[in-house]
Amino acid sequence: MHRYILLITGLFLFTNIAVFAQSASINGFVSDTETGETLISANVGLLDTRKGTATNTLGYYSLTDIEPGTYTLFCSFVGYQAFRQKITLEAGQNLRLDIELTPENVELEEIVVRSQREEEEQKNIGRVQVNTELIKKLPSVFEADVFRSIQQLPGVKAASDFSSGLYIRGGSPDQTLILLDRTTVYNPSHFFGFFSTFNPDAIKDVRLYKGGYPAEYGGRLGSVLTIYNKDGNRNEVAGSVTAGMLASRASVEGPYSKGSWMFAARRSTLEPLLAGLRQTIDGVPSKFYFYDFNGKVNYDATPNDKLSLAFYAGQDRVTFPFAEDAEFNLDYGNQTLSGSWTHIFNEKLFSNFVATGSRYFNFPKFDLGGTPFTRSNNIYDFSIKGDLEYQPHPDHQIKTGVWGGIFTFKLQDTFDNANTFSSRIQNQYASVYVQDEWRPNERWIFTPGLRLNYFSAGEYFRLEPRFSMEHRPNDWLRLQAAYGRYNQFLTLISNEAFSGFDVWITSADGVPPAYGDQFILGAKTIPFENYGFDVEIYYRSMEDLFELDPFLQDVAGLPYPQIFRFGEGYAYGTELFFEKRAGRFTGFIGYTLSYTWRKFPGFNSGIFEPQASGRFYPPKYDRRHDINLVANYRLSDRWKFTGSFNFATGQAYTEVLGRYTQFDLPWTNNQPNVFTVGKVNASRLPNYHRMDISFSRSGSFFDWGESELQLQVINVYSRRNVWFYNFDFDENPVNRTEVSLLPILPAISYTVTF
Amino acid sequence: MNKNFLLLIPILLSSLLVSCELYPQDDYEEYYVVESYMMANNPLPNVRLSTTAPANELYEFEEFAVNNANVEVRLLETGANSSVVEQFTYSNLAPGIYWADQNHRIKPTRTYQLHISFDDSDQVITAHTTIPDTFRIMPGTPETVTYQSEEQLELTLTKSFYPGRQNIYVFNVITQEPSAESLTPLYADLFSDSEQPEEDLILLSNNSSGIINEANFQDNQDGTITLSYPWIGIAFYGVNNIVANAIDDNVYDFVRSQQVQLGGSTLSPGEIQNVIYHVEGGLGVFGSLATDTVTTFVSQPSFNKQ
Repeated sequence: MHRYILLITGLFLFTNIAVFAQSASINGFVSDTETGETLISANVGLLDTRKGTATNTLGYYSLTDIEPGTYTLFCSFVGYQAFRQKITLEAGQNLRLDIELTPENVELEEIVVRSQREEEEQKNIGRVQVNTELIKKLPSVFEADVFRSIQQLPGVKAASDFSSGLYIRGGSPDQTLILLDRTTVYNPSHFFGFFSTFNPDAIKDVRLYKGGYPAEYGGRLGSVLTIYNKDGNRNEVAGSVTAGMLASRASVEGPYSKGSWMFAARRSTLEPLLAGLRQTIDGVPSKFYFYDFNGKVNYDATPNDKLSLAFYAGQDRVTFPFAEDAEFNLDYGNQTLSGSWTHIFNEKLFSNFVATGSRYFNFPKFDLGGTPFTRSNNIYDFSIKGDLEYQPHPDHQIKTGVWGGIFTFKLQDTFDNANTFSSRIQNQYASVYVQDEWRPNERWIFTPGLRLNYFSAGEYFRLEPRFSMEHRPNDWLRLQAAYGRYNQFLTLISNEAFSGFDVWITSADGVPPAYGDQFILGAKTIPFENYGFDVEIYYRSMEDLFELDPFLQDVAGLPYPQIFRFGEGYAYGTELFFEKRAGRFTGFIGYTLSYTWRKFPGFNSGIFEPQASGRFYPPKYDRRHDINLVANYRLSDRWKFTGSFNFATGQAYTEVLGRYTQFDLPWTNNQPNVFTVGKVNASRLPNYHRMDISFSRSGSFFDWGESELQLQVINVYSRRNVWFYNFDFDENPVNRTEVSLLPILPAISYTVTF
Repeated sequence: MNKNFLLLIPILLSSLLVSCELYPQDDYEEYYVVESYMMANNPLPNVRLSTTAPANELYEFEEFAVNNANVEVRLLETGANSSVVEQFTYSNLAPGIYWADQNHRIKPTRTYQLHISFDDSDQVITAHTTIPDTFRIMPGTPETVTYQSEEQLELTLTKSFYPGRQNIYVFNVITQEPSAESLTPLYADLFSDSEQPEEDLILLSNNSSGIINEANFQDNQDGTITLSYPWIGIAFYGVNNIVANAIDDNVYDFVRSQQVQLGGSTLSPGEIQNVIYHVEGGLGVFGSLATDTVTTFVSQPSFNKQ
């Protein structure tokens, strides 16, 4: 038997050697000619051949197994002039060719070269690349926001106007892995969840894997969001300053002899407003601010070795004396640090190694009548990753990698200066994956993958098969399918209304990791030139979901598994996406039809059914229909208009049906009213809709640089969308009042770039 | 334009039609509601019996009181499914309220059954409670403490017992002569905005702690446990009776789930669940407690005296 294996292996190697012995190759980085910023998913190929590829997340490309000869190399990327260069390759030659693309200053009426490979990368199943310029253009409450922009995409929902949390394809926010420069970020929010921590000035690439994500990622049941900070301008010192209503921000970047650097800062500017309000209104925080810093330094050691060091630090602080002898303090934030080494072994083998550190903390403190309640919550995650991209044959792109780390969770609660809960848990985790993108011909792509995860608490090993395929029957249609198994060892204790107290807790003995399967079918079409129309249908299951039992008021003394409730869920839906990609008018309309269900024993059971039973119910964020419209129109060389409109089915809520009163509780004079309800979340709030508009005018700021004035109106027609109903039982009969979302809000910002 | 593209449109439109209502809202249903709390070593308590009211209608207990029931409390041999050792009948002497016809001192650690039937229907309501074991607050609680002083009020208790889990307590502080002038600073500030001062004073005069697990207590070598009583539990200066209540599962489940109905947990706003019940054929609580009380005088700190 072994002889046969050796023979087959030998034949394979011989074949490869025979094929490659006389072939040539090209590789290099693709970057912006003005800033030197590497471009991710840029398209590189040889005209009139089927040779083509896309740059990876570090802007690197490699074309191998090229017959000697003369070719036209082309490279394209949205928003950049196409690059073409005639090259001649000799047998055995490995040409290193770094490409610089020149930005287009105005949107082209037509995209001249928009290759298939570029489409592929940006339109792979379940995947969306978010234009970072669109993030700044979109009208947003007070401050341009990455997550608010992502919420415009089909399949992604917001819990409310007050929450930037991402609810993707029926998953709660903790089911999305968020990576900033490959480092896990655990609480990506400022302002208690109102908007995300990512400074739009500092980032260059945002891509969302809504589902069916490939084997190179893991650790979450639902989706992955990867965000890369800018490397920094490699040609000249540049920067920008933006003054906004909620926060102001500044960034500066530039070159040095061996690379580039970037630094961006943002801070809230609410203090004068709060000081003014305190003169006339009670209940205004005495201290409230947030800030964040992003930085990155790149060092190009050799043409084949690049090093970078990136960091992020953000913090929110509030002090709120809300009564005599009563005060609330909160201090929470994130810090990340990553050091990366990219090494090109040869034209077929590319590698990236990264060491990451991530910390999330929150320190809430209440002081009520001389009785302090405090929490000290720290998460430390230190990890090492290594990823290899290997191209043994032009039809195969193999990716493999390892990721290992230590996750430390420290939580201490005190009440009245005595410990009520104290836990320090340190877990080791590791994963290894391999995936192969196999293109047997121009019509088919298969991407099988396998990921193995290990989590030390409970000694859990979990195997995750992944598979995706694509078929192109013709030039305008791509049919796609994907399947994946996913595991999650963490769960988030949070509240939709307030994310400042978030606590992550882990699986352990008696608390198995949650797992689920995802099935996706998709079709990506080009109905007309410069238009795109995409459809995706998904189904996903969620098993062994573990959440903090919401009915536990005191967990002291309880065994760890008893603080959880364990449940299951599933979600399915259809997403449609129609976009106009080029021209004076661009934009998209997205529609989602979705169903999301959860079930936990003892929750939503019939009133006389055993406590262990439970019925499936839709979580609050479930929306049946969701339509998003985003439009950009260039009014003139100076003026631009951006508008967005969202219509969504009302969120689920529980209608109170009956009531009674308990009169004789021995330990209180209170006589609590008790509600009776039917099925949980069986009613719907009124439909949600909102229109936001933005006008921006570009100009110059004296002779120092360019400027942009942005005028925005959020909720143009001041629709009073309902967040939830409040049932007031002190009223007889019960009084139901609406708690509304944002009214009309104007916003203004001014940006100077130099 | 690609004509083949048009073929996709009817397929997509038909997929949109899949949307239909899978989870209809229930209608209001009327249920019987019971309420009674058995206290170890105390006489049999009253039993209240009523029905629920639609949320959108005016609620007055008397309007929904049930007066035609046969109410019994039964002492069982060993547990919920064991035989009846003794049974106690009840009489309806006020709307919806039933008094025990016999004298009986409730036995700690024993299981009692509430049994309600009706002459005009087959409906039966039953519930069980196992009485927590008695305990004592040990001597040594200071007769006087100064509010928010370094020396915090400490209570030392002998251990209660409840089968299958740690003991769970609710504390309450009863003030005999509540007045706005004797409120501690936090409560005085909250009280200053009161729209119903008389009612609020009555509420504050019996100030409850919420649920406290025994694991929060300090274990002593002699088998007793000690709790530092938090200052937030003291609403009034002056004489305060501090009551420790060890509670059974029925009370525990009622308290923890009823409070979640009002929000504040990890559930989303508007996601409301029924209270956890242990009553067959109805709602409410048939629960039990073991209690002990200690009296202390809370003096005003010198910096707060007018």
